[in-house]
Amino acid sequence: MLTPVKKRYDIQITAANQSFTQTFELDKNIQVIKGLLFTSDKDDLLYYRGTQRVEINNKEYFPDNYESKLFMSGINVPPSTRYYPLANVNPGNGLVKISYQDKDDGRSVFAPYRVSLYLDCEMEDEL
Amino acid sequence: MKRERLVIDSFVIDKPKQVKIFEVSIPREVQHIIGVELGFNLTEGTILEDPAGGIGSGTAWEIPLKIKPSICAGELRLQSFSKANLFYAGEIKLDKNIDNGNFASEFFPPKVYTHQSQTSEVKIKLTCKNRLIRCIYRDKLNDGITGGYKYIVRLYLWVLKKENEKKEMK
Repeated sequence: MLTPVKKRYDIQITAANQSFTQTFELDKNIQVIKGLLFTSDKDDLLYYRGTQRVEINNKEYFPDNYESKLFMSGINVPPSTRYYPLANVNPGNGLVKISYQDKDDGRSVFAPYRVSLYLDCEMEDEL
Repeated sequence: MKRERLVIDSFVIDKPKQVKIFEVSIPREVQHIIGVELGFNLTEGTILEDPAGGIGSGTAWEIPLKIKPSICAGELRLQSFSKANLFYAGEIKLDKNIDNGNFASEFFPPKVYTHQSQTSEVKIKLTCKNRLIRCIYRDKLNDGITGGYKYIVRLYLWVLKKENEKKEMK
């Protein structure tokens, strides 16, 4: 039986105008990735400055320069619909690779911030 | 098997009222264009702030009920060389009414990055018989900004691509 589970992975952005690449490994019992969501402890910096590439199981789902704000949901969006839907992606080897690029924007001032990736998954609860 | 993929193109606008005409090439395997999204990244310049209301403005707070004009950064049109011709026209808007009617905005001023609604692409369906899409961008930001400015516009074209792969999920 598949059980819904939410996973969170963090990337620390410590310098302006740089790229940060990190690969996360999902639990082996995760069968399906249904959606994803990006948030931050400094929402404005993620909204104005961030772009990223998302790769799951060595397959590119979102290319470089895809803006982070397109993955963000405001607080006036119902919690149940906040995730960006992916069409039941098979996690394969379970590797999720994020290449995050910070870039100056006239509407924000850089300070170190955290980018959090949330994955809406389904896992096999009995191995 | 068909997969949704993205074709991204970006260009820089650095002159007021600049018009940019260029072509985006679509990969051969693409069968349909199914959505369009636009992105905006201001690299130089300061956007005019709202004159009154909210915290720190020096005036007494009241529920924001007046509609303020949003700033239009520019408009983009996409043209196909096949029968569809002009198939998309969209504006990049900087929303100035995100706090409208919000009675809590005295203590929690709404911003686009906290109170934006969910973003999604504009859905279209265009059969790709021709591999080129012409883009015509017209800058209009000079009305809402002081001094010189420079920004990057990103164009996201969601496409349906034919790929020879095993099926993802049962």
